[in-house]
Amino acid sequence: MIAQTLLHEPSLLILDEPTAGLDPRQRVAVRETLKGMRPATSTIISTHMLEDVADLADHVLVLDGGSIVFAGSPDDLANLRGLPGDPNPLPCCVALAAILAAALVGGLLGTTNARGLEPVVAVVAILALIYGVRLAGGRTLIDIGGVSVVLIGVRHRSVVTLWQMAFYLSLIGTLSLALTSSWTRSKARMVLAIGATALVGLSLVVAVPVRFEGSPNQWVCDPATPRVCVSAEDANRLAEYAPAVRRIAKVAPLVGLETHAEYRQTVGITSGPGSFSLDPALSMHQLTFDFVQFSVPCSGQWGTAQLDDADMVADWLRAELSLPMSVLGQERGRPSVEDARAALDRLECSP
Amino acid sequence: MQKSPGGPPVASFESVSFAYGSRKVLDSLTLAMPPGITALLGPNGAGKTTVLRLLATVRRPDSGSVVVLGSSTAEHDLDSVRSALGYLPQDAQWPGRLTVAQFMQLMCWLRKVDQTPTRIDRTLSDWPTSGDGGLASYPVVNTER
Repeated sequence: MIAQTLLHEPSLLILDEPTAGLDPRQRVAVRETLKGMRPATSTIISTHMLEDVADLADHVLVLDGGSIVFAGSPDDLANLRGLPGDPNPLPCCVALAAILAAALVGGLLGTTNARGLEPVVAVVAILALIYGVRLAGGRTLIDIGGVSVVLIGVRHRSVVTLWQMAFYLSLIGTLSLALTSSWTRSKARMVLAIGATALVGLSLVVAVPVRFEGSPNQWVCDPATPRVCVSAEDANRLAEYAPAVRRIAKVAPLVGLETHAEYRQTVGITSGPGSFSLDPALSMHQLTFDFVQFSVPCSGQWGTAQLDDADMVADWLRAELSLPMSVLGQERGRPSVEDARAALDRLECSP
Repeated sequence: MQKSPGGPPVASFESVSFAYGSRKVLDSLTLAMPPGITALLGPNGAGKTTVLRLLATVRRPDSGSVVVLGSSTAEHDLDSVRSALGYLPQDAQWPGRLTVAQFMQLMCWLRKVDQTPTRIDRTLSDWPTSGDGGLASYPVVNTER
Protein backbone atom coordinates (compact mmCIF):
# COMPACT_ATOMS: atom_id res chain seq x y z
CA MET A 1 0.00 0.00 0.00
CA ILE A 2 2.84 2.35 0.81
CA ALA A 3 4.77 1.19 -2.26
CA GLN A 4 2.01 2.33 -4.60
CA THR A 5 2.57 5.91 -3.48
CA LEU A 6 6.20 5.75 -4.71
CA LEU A 7 5.64 4.26 -8.19
CA HIS A 8 5.46 7.58 -10.01
CA GLU A 9 8.33 9.18 -8.07
CA PRO A 10 6.23 11.97 -6.58
CA SER A 11 7.53 15.33 -5.37
CA LEU A 12 5.34 15.26 -2.28
CA LEU A 13 4.31 12.18 -0.31
CA ILE A 14 1.28 12.39 1.98
CA LEU A 15 1.12 9.38 4.28
CA ASP A 16 -1.61 8.93 6.87
CA GLU A 17 -0.16 6.75 9.65
CA PRO A 18 2.15 4.81 7.32
CA THR A 19 3.79 2.72 10.02
CA ALA A 20 0.61 1.64 11.80
CA GLY A 21 0.32 -2.14 11.79
CA LEU A 22 3.89 -2.80 10.63
CA ASP A 23 6.40 -4.94 12.47
CA PRO A 24 9.65 -3.30 13.65
CA ARG A 25 11.71 -4.39 10.62
CA GLN A 26 9.10 -3.05 8.25
CA ARG A 27 8.95 0.22 10.15
CA VAL A 28 12.70 0.59 9.79
CA ALA A 29 12.38 -0.19 6.08
CA VAL A 30 9.67 2.43 5.60
CA ARG A 31 11.67 5.02 7.48
CA GLU A 32 14.85 4.27 5.55
CA THR A 33 12.93 4.49 2.27
CA LEU A 34 11.48 7.86 3.18
CA LYS A 35 14.84 9.16 4.33
CA GLY A 36 16.47 7.93 1.12
CA MET A 37 14.02 9.97 -0.92
CA ARG A 38 15.25 13.25 0.48
CA PRO A 39 15.76 15.88 -0.82
CA ALA A 40 13.96 15.23 -4.12
CA THR A 41 10.77 14.18 -2.34
CA SER A 42 9.26 15.89 0.66
CA THR A 43 7.04 13.87 2.94
CA ILE A 44 4.22 14.72 5.30
CA ILE A 45 3.15 11.93 7.64
CA SER A 46 0.64 11.74 10.42
CA THR A 47 1.62 9.36 13.15
CA HIS A 48 1.17 8.26 16.73
CA MET A 49 4.57 6.52 16.62
CA LEU A 50 6.96 8.76 18.48
CA GLU A 51 9.96 6.78 17.30
CA ASP A 52 9.02 7.81 13.76
CA VAL A 53 9.25 11.39 14.90
CA ALA A 54 12.52 10.91 16.78
CA ASP A 55 14.16 9.02 13.93
CA LEU A 56 12.66 10.47 10.80
CA ALA A 57 11.20 13.92 11.02
CA ASP A 58 12.93 17.19 10.18
CA HIS A 59 9.93 19.11 11.45
CA VAL A 60 7.06 18.38 13.80
CA LEU A 61 3.62 19.91 13.91
CA VAL A 62 1.35 19.00 16.80
CA LEU A 63 -2.33 19.53 16.17
CA ASP A 64 -4.98 19.65 18.85
CA GLY A 65 -8.57 20.63 18.32
CA GLY A 66 -7.80 21.74 14.77
CA SER A 67 -5.08 24.17 15.87
CA ILE A 68 -1.31 24.01 15.73
CA VAL A 69 -0.06 23.81 19.31
CA PHE A 70 3.56 23.16 18.44
CA ALA A 71 5.80 23.69 15.44
CA GLY A 72 9.49 22.93 15.63
CA SER A 73 12.14 20.25 15.37
CA PRO A 74 11.95 16.85 17.10
CA ASP A 75 14.76 18.02 19.39
CA ASP A 76 12.73 21.07 20.36
CA LEU A 77 9.81 18.77 21.15
CA ALA A 78 11.95 16.35 23.13
CA ASN A 79 13.42 19.17 25.19
CA LEU A 80 10.10 20.83 25.80
CA ARG A 81 9.25 21.04 29.46
CA GLY A 82 6.15 23.14 29.77
CA LEU A 83 7.13 26.50 28.36
CA PRO A 84 5.23 29.74 28.69
CA GLY A 85 3.17 31.67 26.23
CA ASP A 86 5.23 34.81 26.57
CA PRO A 87 7.94 34.70 23.90
CA ASN A 88 9.96 37.52 25.46
CA PRO A 89 12.47 36.32 28.06
CA LEU A 90 12.63 39.73 29.76
CA PRO A 91 9.14 39.62 31.36
CA CYS A 92 9.94 36.13 32.63
CA CYS A 93 13.01 37.41 34.45
CA VAL A 94 11.18 40.48 35.73
CA ALA A 95 8.32 38.28 36.92
CA LEU A 96 10.67 35.90 38.69
CA ALA A 97 12.52 38.80 40.34
CA ALA A 98 9.18 40.31 41.42
CA ILE A 99 8.07 36.99 42.87
CA LEU A 100 11.20 36.58 44.94
CA ALA A 101 11.20 40.23 46.07
CA ALA A 102 7.53 40.13 47.03
CA ALA A 103 7.95 36.91 48.96
CA LEU A 104 11.04 38.28 50.69
CA VAL A 105 9.34 41.56 51.64
CA GLY A 106 6.30 39.61 52.81
CA GLY A 107 8.54 37.46 54.96
CA LEU A 108 10.42 40.44 56.42
CA LEU A 109 7.20 42.31 57.19
CA GLY A 110 5.95 39.19 58.90
CA THR A 111 8.73 39.55 61.44
CA THR A 112 8.19 43.26 62.13
CA ASN A 113 5.41 45.28 63.68
CA ALA A 114 4.39 47.22 60.57
CA ARG A 115 0.73 46.78 61.39
CA GLY A 116 -1.87 47.19 58.70
CA LEU A 117 0.53 46.66 55.83
CA GLU A 118 1.37 43.02 56.17
CA PRO A 119 -1.91 41.56 54.80
CA VAL A 120 -1.60 43.72 51.70
CA VAL A 121 2.03 42.80 51.11
CA ALA A 122 1.33 39.15 51.82
CA VAL A 123 -1.59 39.04 49.38
CA VAL A 124 0.57 40.72 46.72
CA ALA A 125 3.32 38.21 47.42
CA ILE A 126 0.98 35.25 47.03
CA LEU A 127 -0.64 36.61 43.86
CA ALA A 128 2.77 37.40 42.42
CA LEU A 129 3.79 33.83 43.15
CA ILE A 130 0.72 32.39 41.47
CA TYR A 131 0.73 34.50 38.33
CA GLY A 132 4.41 35.29 38.09
CA VAL A 133 5.65 31.75 38.43
CA ARG A 134 3.04 30.65 35.97
CA LEU A 135 4.30 33.30 33.58
CA ALA A 136 7.82 31.99 34.06
CA GLY A 137 6.54 28.64 32.90
CA GLY A 138 7.26 25.08 33.81
CA ARG A 139 5.69 22.22 35.63
CA THR A 140 2.37 22.60 37.37
CA LEU A 141 2.70 22.53 41.14
CA ILE A 142 -0.66 23.73 42.35
CA ASP A 143 -3.92 24.28 40.58
CA ILE A 144 -6.53 26.37 42.37
CA GLY A 145 -9.70 26.97 40.44
CA GLY A 146 -7.94 26.81 37.09
CA VAL A 147 -5.10 29.08 38.21
CA SER A 148 -1.98 27.00 38.02
CA VAL A 149 1.30 27.53 39.80
CA VAL A 150 4.09 26.11 37.70
CA LEU A 151 7.82 26.05 38.25
CA ILE A 152 10.71 25.50 35.90
CA GLY A 153 12.80 22.38 35.73
CA VAL A 154 11.78 20.75 38.97
CA ARG A 155 13.04 17.21 38.89
CA HIS A 156 13.11 16.07 42.50
CA ARG A 157 9.74 15.25 43.97
CA SER A 158 10.88 15.99 47.52
CA VAL A 159 11.74 19.56 46.50
CA VAL A 160 8.36 19.90 44.86
CA THR A 161 6.69 18.67 48.04
CA LEU A 162 8.67 21.12 50.19
CA TRP A 163 7.80 23.93 47.80
CA GLN A 164 4.13 23.03 48.04
CA MET A 165 4.28 22.92 51.84
CA ALA A 166 5.92 26.36 51.92
CA PHE A 167 3.28 27.68 49.58
CA TYR A 168 0.44 26.47 51.77
CA LEU A 169 2.19 27.77 54.86
CA SER A 170 2.38 31.22 53.29
CA LEU A 171 -1.22 30.98 52.23
CA ILE A 172 -2.35 30.06 55.74
CA GLY A 173 -0.28 32.91 57.20
CA THR A 174 -1.77 35.38 54.76
CA LEU A 175 -5.35 34.31 55.40
CA SER A 176 -4.77 34.41 59.13
CA LEU A 177 -3.40 37.95 58.93
CA ALA A 178 -6.27 39.09 56.79
CA LEU A 179 -9.13 37.39 58.59
CA THR A 180 -8.35 36.83 62.25
CA SER A 181 -8.42 39.08 65.26
CA SER A 182 -5.33 40.80 66.58
CA TRP A 183 -4.32 38.28 69.27
CA THR A 184 -3.46 35.62 66.67
CA ARG A 185 -1.55 37.98 64.41
CA SER A 186 1.83 37.40 65.96
CA LYS A 187 1.49 33.67 65.27
CA ALA A 188 0.23 34.34 61.77
CA ARG A 189 3.18 36.63 61.10
CA MET A 190 5.52 33.90 62.19
CA VAL A 191 3.86 31.35 59.92
CA LEU A 192 4.00 33.78 57.00
CA ALA A 193 7.63 34.60 57.69
CA ILE A 194 8.64 30.94 57.75
CA GLY A 195 6.57 30.09 54.65
CA ALA A 196 7.70 33.05 52.56
CA THR A 197 11.36 32.61 53.47
CA ALA A 198 11.15 28.93 52.60
CA LEU A 199 9.53 29.84 49.28
CA VAL A 200 12.34 32.22 48.42
CA GLY A 201 14.98 29.70 49.37
CA LEU A 202 13.36 26.77 47.61
CA SER A 203 12.67 28.81 44.51
CA LEU A 204 16.38 29.57 44.30
CA VAL A 205 17.27 25.95 44.98
CA VAL A 206 15.06 24.57 42.25
CA ALA A 207 15.70 27.29 39.71
CA VAL A 208 19.42 27.94 39.82
CA PRO A 209 20.81 24.40 39.36
CA VAL A 210 18.68 23.86 36.30
CA ARG A 211 20.32 26.77 34.65
CA PHE A 212 23.88 25.96 35.54
CA GLU A 213 23.87 22.20 35.15
CA GLY A 214 23.22 22.50 31.44
CA SER A 215 20.16 20.36 31.88
CA PRO A 216 18.08 19.52 28.81
CA ASN A 217 15.20 21.10 30.68
CA GLN A 218 15.08 24.52 29.22
CA TRP A 219 15.41 27.59 31.33
CA VAL A 220 12.94 30.00 29.89
CA CYS A 221 14.80 33.11 30.98
CA ASP A 222 18.04 32.11 29.31
CA PRO A 223 18.17 33.94 25.97
CA ALA A 224 21.10 31.78 24.84
CA THR A 225 18.94 28.66 24.78
CA PRO A 226 16.87 28.15 21.66
CA ARG A 227 13.30 28.10 22.78
CA VAL A 228 9.95 27.14 21.47
CA CYS A 229 7.20 29.28 22.86
CA VAL A 230 3.68 28.00 23.25
CA SER A 231 0.91 28.89 25.64
CA ALA A 232 1.07 27.46 29.16
CA GLU A 233 -2.08 25.44 28.46
CA ASP A 234 -0.58 23.96 25.33
CA ALA A 235 2.68 23.32 27.11
CA ASN A 236 0.99 20.99 29.53
CA ARG A 237 -0.53 19.02 26.68
CA LEU A 238 2.80 18.89 24.88
CA ALA A 239 4.52 17.72 28.02
CA GLU A 240 2.80 14.40 27.36
CA TYR A 241 4.99 13.90 24.32
CA ALA A 242 8.33 15.14 25.56
CA PRO A 243 9.19 12.34 28.03
CA ALA A 244 8.42 9.67 25.45
CA VAL A 245 10.67 11.19 22.82
CA ARG A 246 13.43 11.56 25.39
CA ARG A 247 13.05 7.95 26.52
CA ILE A 248 13.30 6.67 22.99
CA ALA A 249 16.58 8.50 22.59
CA LYS A 250 17.84 6.64 25.68
CA VAL A 251 17.50 3.28 23.97
CA ALA A 252 20.42 3.77 21.58
CA PRO A 253 23.09 3.61 24.29
CA LEU A 254 21.17 0.78 25.95
CA VAL A 255 21.88 -1.50 23.03
CA GLY A 256 25.44 -0.33 22.54
CA LEU A 257 24.96 2.03 19.63
CA GLU A 258 26.10 5.42 20.67
CA THR A 259 25.33 7.59 17.70
CA HIS A 260 21.97 8.36 16.33
CA ALA A 261 23.08 7.54 12.76
CA GLU A 262 24.26 4.06 13.72
CA TYR A 263 21.16 3.45 15.74
CA ARG A 264 18.96 4.53 12.88
CA GLN A 265 20.64 2.21 10.41
CA THR A 266 21.02 -0.91 12.48
CA VAL A 267 18.44 -1.02 15.21
CA GLY A 268 14.74 -0.72 14.80
CA ILE A 269 12.72 0.10 17.81
CA THR A 270 9.08 0.50 18.42
CA SER A 271 6.97 1.06 21.44
CA GLY A 272 4.42 -1.27 22.88
CA PRO A 273 0.93 -0.26 23.90
CA GLY A 274 1.42 3.17 25.37
CA SER A 275 -0.42 4.32 28.41
CA PHE A 276 -1.14 7.62 30.02
CA SER A 277 -0.59 7.76 33.73
CA LEU A 278 -1.33 10.58 36.09
CA ASP A 279 1.37 11.72 38.43
CA PRO A 280 -0.68 13.20 41.30
CA ALA A 281 2.31 14.97 42.86
CA LEU A 282 2.98 16.91 39.70
CA SER A 283 -0.58 17.14 38.37
CA MET A 284 0.79 16.17 35.00
CA HIS A 285 0.15 13.38 32.56
CA GLN A 286 3.11 11.28 31.52
CA LEU A 287 3.22 9.06 28.50
CA THR A 288 4.80 5.75 29.37
CA PHE A 289 5.39 2.61 27.38
CA ASP A 290 4.64 -0.86 28.58
CA PHE A 291 7.47 -2.31 26.56
CA VAL A 292 9.80 -1.65 23.69
CA GLN A 293 10.78 -3.92 20.86
CA PHE A 294 14.33 -4.15 19.60
CA SER A 295 15.33 -5.27 16.17
CA VAL A 296 18.89 -6.25 15.26
CA PRO A 297 18.99 -6.64 11.49
CA CYS A 298 22.31 -8.53 11.41
CA SER A 299 20.55 -11.42 13.09
CA GLY A 300 17.17 -10.77 11.56
CA GLN A 301 15.61 -11.13 14.98
CA TRP A 302 13.77 -8.85 17.25
CA GLY A 303 12.47 -8.98 20.75
CA THR A 304 10.66 -7.18 23.49
CA ALA A 305 11.93 -5.67 26.70
CA GLN A 306 10.92 -3.27 29.36
CA LEU A 307 12.53 0.08 28.84
CA ASP A 308 15.28 0.71 31.40
CA ASP A 309 15.06 -2.88 32.62
CA ALA A 310 18.44 -4.55 32.24
CA ASP A 311 17.13 -7.97 33.28
CA MET A 312 14.58 -8.04 30.51
CA VAL A 313 17.09 -6.82 27.94
CA ALA A 314 19.51 -9.50 29.02
CA ASP A 315 16.82 -12.19 28.97
CA TRP A 316 15.87 -11.20 25.49
CA LEU A 317 19.44 -11.17 24.25
CA ARG A 318 20.00 -14.60 25.74
CA ALA A 319 16.82 -16.09 24.35
CA GLU A 320 16.66 -14.48 20.94
CA LEU A 321 20.30 -14.23 20.04
CA SER A 322 21.42 -17.45 21.79
CA LEU A 323 24.09 -15.62 23.69
CA PRO A 324 25.69 -17.72 26.44
CA MET A 325 24.95 -16.76 30.01
CA SER A 326 28.62 -15.99 30.66
CA VAL A 327 28.63 -13.34 27.97
CA LEU A 328 25.88 -11.58 29.85
CA GLY A 329 27.80 -11.71 33.12
CA GLN A 330 25.40 -14.14 34.73
CA GLU A 331 28.16 -15.58 36.89
CA ARG A 332 28.48 -12.17 38.54
CA GLY A 333 24.81 -12.19 39.36
CA ARG A 334 22.39 -9.72 37.87
CA PRO A 335 23.22 -8.82 34.26
CA SER A 336 23.63 -5.10 33.82
CA VAL A 337 22.92 -2.77 30.95
CA GLU A 338 26.69 -2.61 30.41
CA ASP A 339 26.79 -6.40 30.06
CA ALA A 340 24.02 -6.29 27.50
CA ARG A 341 25.79 -3.51 25.65
CA ALA A 342 29.10 -5.35 25.65
CA ALA A 343 27.37 -8.50 24.41
CA LEU A 344 25.86 -6.64 21.52
CA ASP A 345 29.23 -5.07 20.72
CA ARG A 346 30.68 -8.55 20.33
CA LEU A 347 28.00 -9.65 17.89
CA GLU A 348 29.43 -10.13 14.44
CA CYS A 349 27.18 -9.19 11.59
CA SER A 350 27.90 -11.22 8.50
CA PRO A 351 26.79 -9.61 5.27
CA MET B 1 19.28 14.88 13.13
CA GLN B 2 19.92 15.68 9.52
CA LYS B 3 19.88 19.29 8.63
CA SER B 4 16.67 19.95 6.84
CA PRO B 5 16.86 21.36 3.35
CA GLY B 6 15.83 24.95 3.04
CA GLY B 7 13.60 26.52 0.46
CA PRO B 8 10.02 27.61 0.09
CA PRO B 9 7.32 25.56 1.81
CA VAL B 10 6.09 22.49 -0.09
CA ALA B 11 2.61 23.09 1.24
CA SER B 12 0.82 25.82 3.15
CA PHE B 13 -2.57 26.63 4.63
CA GLU B 14 -3.88 30.18 4.89
CA SER B 15 -6.86 30.65 7.23
CA VAL B 16 -8.28 27.28 6.28
CA SER B 17 -11.60 26.23 7.78
CA PHE B 18 -13.24 22.88 7.22
CA ALA B 19 -16.25 21.09 8.67
CA TYR B 20 -17.76 17.65 8.22
CA GLY B 21 -21.41 18.71 8.18
CA SER B 22 -21.99 20.70 11.35
CA ARG B 23 -18.80 19.43 13.03
CA LYS B 24 -16.08 22.01 12.58
CA VAL B 25 -12.67 20.35 12.37
CA LEU B 26 -10.37 23.18 11.31
CA ASP B 27 -11.01 26.80 12.17
CA SER B 28 -8.90 29.37 10.37
CA LEU B 29 -5.78 27.22 10.40
CA THR B 30 -2.60 28.75 9.02
CA LEU B 31 0.56 26.70 8.64
CA ALA B 32 3.53 26.09 6.36
CA MET B 33 5.32 22.81 5.76
CA PRO B 34 8.99 23.22 4.81
CA PRO B 35 10.85 20.81 2.50
CA GLY B 36 12.01 17.61 4.14
CA ILE B 37 10.02 15.27 6.34
CA THR B 38 7.26 16.78 8.44
CA ALA B 39 5.47 14.73 11.10
CA LEU B 40 1.96 15.59 12.24
CA LEU B 41 1.28 14.58 15.82
CA GLY B 42 -1.80 14.97 17.93
CA PRO B 43 -4.58 13.06 19.65
CA ASN B 44 -7.30 11.32 17.69
CA GLY B 45 -9.76 13.86 16.35
CA ALA B 46 -7.18 16.66 16.34
CA GLY B 47 -7.55 17.17 12.59
CA LYS B 48 -4.43 15.37 11.29
CA THR B 49 -6.24 13.27 8.71
CA THR B 50 -8.29 16.26 7.57
CA VAL B 51 -5.12 18.27 7.01
CA LEU B 52 -3.71 15.42 4.90
CA ARG B 53 -6.93 15.06 2.92
CA LEU B 54 -6.88 18.75 2.11
CA LEU B 55 -3.22 18.49 1.06
CA ALA B 56 -3.96 15.47 -1.11
CA THR B 57 -6.78 17.47 -2.81
CA VAL B 58 -9.26 14.80 -1.76
CA ARG B 59 -11.19 17.53 0.03
CA ARG B 60 -11.48 21.25 -0.53
CA PRO B 61 -11.52 23.78 2.28
CA ASP B 62 -14.78 25.54 3.19
CA SER B 63 -12.80 28.78 3.30
CA GLY B 64 -9.18 29.86 3.08
CA SER B 65 -6.57 28.59 0.66
CA VAL B 66 -4.46 25.44 0.44
CA VAL B 67 -1.31 25.69 -1.66
CA VAL B 68 0.49 22.45 -2.55
CA LEU B 69 3.79 22.52 -4.48
CA GLY B 70 3.13 26.11 -5.42
CA SER B 71 -0.35 25.51 -6.84
CA SER B 72 -3.60 26.48 -5.21
CA THR B 73 -5.91 23.51 -4.80
CA ALA B 74 -8.83 25.82 -5.59
CA GLU B 75 -7.84 25.70 -9.26
CA HIS B 76 -10.13 23.88 -11.62
CA ASP B 77 -7.52 21.54 -13.10
CA LEU B 78 -5.84 19.55 -10.35
CA ASP B 79 -4.23 16.92 -12.60
CA SER B 80 -0.79 18.49 -12.64
CA VAL B 81 -0.53 18.86 -8.88
CA ARG B 82 -2.07 15.43 -8.25
CA SER B 83 0.43 13.76 -10.57
CA ALA B 84 3.20 15.05 -8.29
CA LEU B 85 1.58 13.66 -5.14
CA GLY B 86 1.76 10.24 -3.54
CA TYR B 87 -1.06 9.67 -1.07
CA LEU B 88 -1.62 6.88 1.42
CA PRO B 89 -5.06 7.28 3.01
CA GLN B 90 -5.65 6.01 6.52
CA ASP B 91 -8.77 4.04 5.70
CA ALA B 92 -8.17 2.90 2.14
CA GLN B 93 -10.17 0.00 0.72
CA TRP B 94 -8.28 -1.92 -1.95
CA PRO B 95 -9.36 -4.40 -4.61
CA GLY B 96 -9.26 -7.95 -3.28
CA ARG B 97 -7.74 -11.11 -4.77
CA LEU B 98 -4.75 -9.34 -6.31
CA THR B 99 -1.14 -10.14 -5.63
CA VAL B 100 1.07 -7.25 -4.68
CA ALA B 101 2.60 -7.27 -8.20
CA GLN B 102 -0.85 -7.17 -9.82
CA PHE B 103 -1.94 -4.41 -7.49
CA MET B 104 1.17 -2.40 -8.35
CA GLN B 105 0.43 -2.89 -12.06
CA LEU B 106 -3.05 -1.56 -11.47
CA MET B 107 -1.67 1.47 -9.66
CA CYS B 108 0.87 2.04 -12.46
CA TRP B 109 -2.01 2.04 -14.94
CA LEU B 110 -4.03 4.46 -12.79
CA ARG B 111 -0.95 6.65 -12.40
CA LYS B 112 -0.20 6.45 -16.15
CA VAL B 113 3.35 5.31 -15.52
CA ASP B 114 5.50 2.57 -16.99
CA GLN B 115 4.23 -0.89 -15.89
CA THR B 116 7.46 -2.77 -16.42
CA PRO B 117 8.34 -5.33 -13.78
CA THR B 118 11.66 -3.52 -13.29
CA ARG B 119 10.00 -0.42 -11.92
CA ILE B 120 7.75 -2.45 -9.66
CA ASP B 121 10.60 -4.66 -8.47
CA ARG B 122 12.73 -1.63 -7.77
CA THR B 123 9.98 -0.09 -5.69
CA LEU B 124 9.45 -3.30 -3.71
CA SER B 125 13.08 -4.34 -3.43
CA ASP B 126 13.78 -2.77 -0.04
CA TRP B 127 10.73 -4.25 1.61
CA PRO B 128 11.48 -6.96 4.18
CA THR B 129 9.42 -10.14 3.98
CA SER B 130 9.25 -13.17 6.21
CA GLY B 131 9.01 -15.87 3.51
CA ASP B 132 10.47 -17.02 0.21
CA GLY B 133 9.34 -15.93 -3.22
CA GLY B 134 9.45 -12.16 -2.72
CA LEU B 135 6.79 -9.68 -1.78
CA ALA B 136 5.38 -9.42 -5.31
CA SER B 137 3.66 -12.82 -5.06
CA TYR B 138 1.90 -11.98 -1.78
CA PRO B 139 -1.83 -11.35 -1.83
CA VAL B 140 -2.92 -7.81 -1.03
CA VAL B 141 -4.69 -7.78 2.32
CA ASN B 142 -6.71 -4.79 3.32
CA THR B 143 -5.33 -4.68 6.82
CA GLU B 144 -1.70 -4.55 5.62
CA ARG B 145 0.13 -1.37 4.72
